[in-house]
Amino acid sequence: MRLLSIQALNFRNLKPLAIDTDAAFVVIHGPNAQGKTNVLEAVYLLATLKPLRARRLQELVRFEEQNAVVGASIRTEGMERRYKVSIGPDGRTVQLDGQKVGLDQWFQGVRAIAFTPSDGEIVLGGPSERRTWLDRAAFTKAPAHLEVVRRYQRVLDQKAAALKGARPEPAMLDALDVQLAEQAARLVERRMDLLTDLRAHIEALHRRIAGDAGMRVTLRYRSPVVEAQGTMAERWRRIFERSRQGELRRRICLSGPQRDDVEILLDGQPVRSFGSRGQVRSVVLSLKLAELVAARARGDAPLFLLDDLSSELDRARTQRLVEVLSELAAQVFITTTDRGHLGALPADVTCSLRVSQGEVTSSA
Amino acid sequence: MTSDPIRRAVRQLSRLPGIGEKTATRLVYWMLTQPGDVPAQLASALQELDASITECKVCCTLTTHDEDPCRLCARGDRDDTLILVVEHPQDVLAFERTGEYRGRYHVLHGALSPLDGITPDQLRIRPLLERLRAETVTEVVLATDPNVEGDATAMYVARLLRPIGVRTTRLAHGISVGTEIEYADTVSLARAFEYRRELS
Ligand SMILES: Nc1ncnc2c1ncn2[C@@H]1O[C@H](COP(=O)(O)OP(=O)(O)OP(=O)(O)O)[C@@H](O)[C@H]1O
Ligand SMILES: [Mg+2]
Ligand SMILES: [Zn+2]
Repeated sequence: MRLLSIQALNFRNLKPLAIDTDAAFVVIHGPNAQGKTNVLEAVYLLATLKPLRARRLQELVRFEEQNAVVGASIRTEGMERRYKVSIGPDGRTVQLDGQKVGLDQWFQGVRAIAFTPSDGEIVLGGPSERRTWLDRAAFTKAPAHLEVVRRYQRVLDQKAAALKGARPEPAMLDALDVQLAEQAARLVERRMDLLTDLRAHIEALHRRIAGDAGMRVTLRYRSPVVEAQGTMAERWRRIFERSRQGELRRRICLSGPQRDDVEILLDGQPVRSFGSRGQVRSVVLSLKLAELVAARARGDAPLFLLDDLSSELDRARTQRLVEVLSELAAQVFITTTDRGHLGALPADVTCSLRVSQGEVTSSA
Repeated sequence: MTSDPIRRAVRQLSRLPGIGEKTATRLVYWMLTQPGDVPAQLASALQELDASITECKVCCTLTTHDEDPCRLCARGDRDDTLILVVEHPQDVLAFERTGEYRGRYHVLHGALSPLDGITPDQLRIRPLLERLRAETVTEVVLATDPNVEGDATAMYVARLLRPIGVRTTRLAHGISVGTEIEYADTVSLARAFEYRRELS
């Protein structure tokens, strides 16, 4: 997919925005606090309908304003379409070619993978950071994952409410556990499939990015189901059975994929505990690149967004990254305070945008 | 201008599903400006509902005191070996419109949803069990909605029925007829796949 142009109104600090972005590399540069990441966030919003940094979509609306709009022309598989997201006090609405559409259709045409400074948390943070990343990545792979997550969460919420009730009836908990086991199985199978995809590429990518010959990256899904026997749903059902007593005593859900984790190892050691800052960054970047490469292998071409590259990677690694990205022929958006840091980008495929106090101009 | 009775009426109307405060206000002012006593007629119709509607003592669908058991339960030409279990009285009408179903019905009046405080004893499950004990039923078709709550309800009822030994089936869900696969939404498509069946 290729983002040909983007427009925004009342989006964060950006002045009314309308720029062409029809290039393989879109470099967004300028001093601190000018609005570079905000431009990236506008692209991210189109591709995920989620904020990149904020907790709530409403934070994306310019201070003192009620509504923000982001639009874009995107070409996917030869077809150019108009995408428009509006954010108001009541939430967001989307339009594709001027019509209301389901998210299904929306995400057929646009998706993105982002690498931002806070992504170090995927390695350094708690299990929930890794689950969030994994589910987002699974969503980028197949948007139907969102529905799987929601359905699981809904059953989980129902079970939690049942446990909080006056006298939870065992037969009702049984019925909910059967449901929960089914949904948990779907969820975990998708997560594990995704990890399998990533494993196929991460090794080679990490070697290229990190440069040091052959520290091995290992991704391991951590869950009580991994070791067990039987179909995935059966395994969950047995686990839920075993948790029942404790759950009734404490009146909360004690097991399920909402407690799973991904172990990320470098040469067999948890990066979380032993990795240097540089190692952490290389590993996270390799994860994201592996997502992109896996997508390319499937014939997908999500946008690739890199925030604040100069603070994240030294020159040598940045150069190697640019090389990898050139080979992948994905459209890449990069923000940086230091344009020189990127070295020589192929001029004929680069579009350079300068951001100054919320104003975005082409800088050739 | 907005005096209390108007506000009260608006508030009552806006409780109805699909009606917001704006529509409710419009309805109230419309009623007040019509010739004839529209509010009184509406009120009496609603009051009559309250006085005459009851749940069928057999299938629990809504009926009148004068027709209890309900019309469908009273009919002699229906198949007594088959009961279709649905969430709402409107679901009965939907199946009747198909003209295909010849068995009996049972209405649960909702689905299990602990989040909304709906537990098994709020549903008409016990009357269903009573029917199974007394009648000649050989198969129960669970036609609750294809969502989390409907699925949990079906599972719950199926497990209760297991010791009784009656055959229990779940309605198949999938792509709606007339939808080409290409255009089916992914959720329906995934479900249709899940509920696929053997071709003999
Ligand atoms: N909702 C909003 N309305 C108006 N201004 C906002 C809003 N949200 C953020 N800003 C402003 O946007 C500016 C930051 O923009 P952004 O984060 O894109 O900077 P940046 O160019 O990426 O800077 P850095 O190089 O430090 O990362 C800040 O001045 C902030 O006050
Ligand atoms: Mg920034
Ligand atoms: Zn009846």
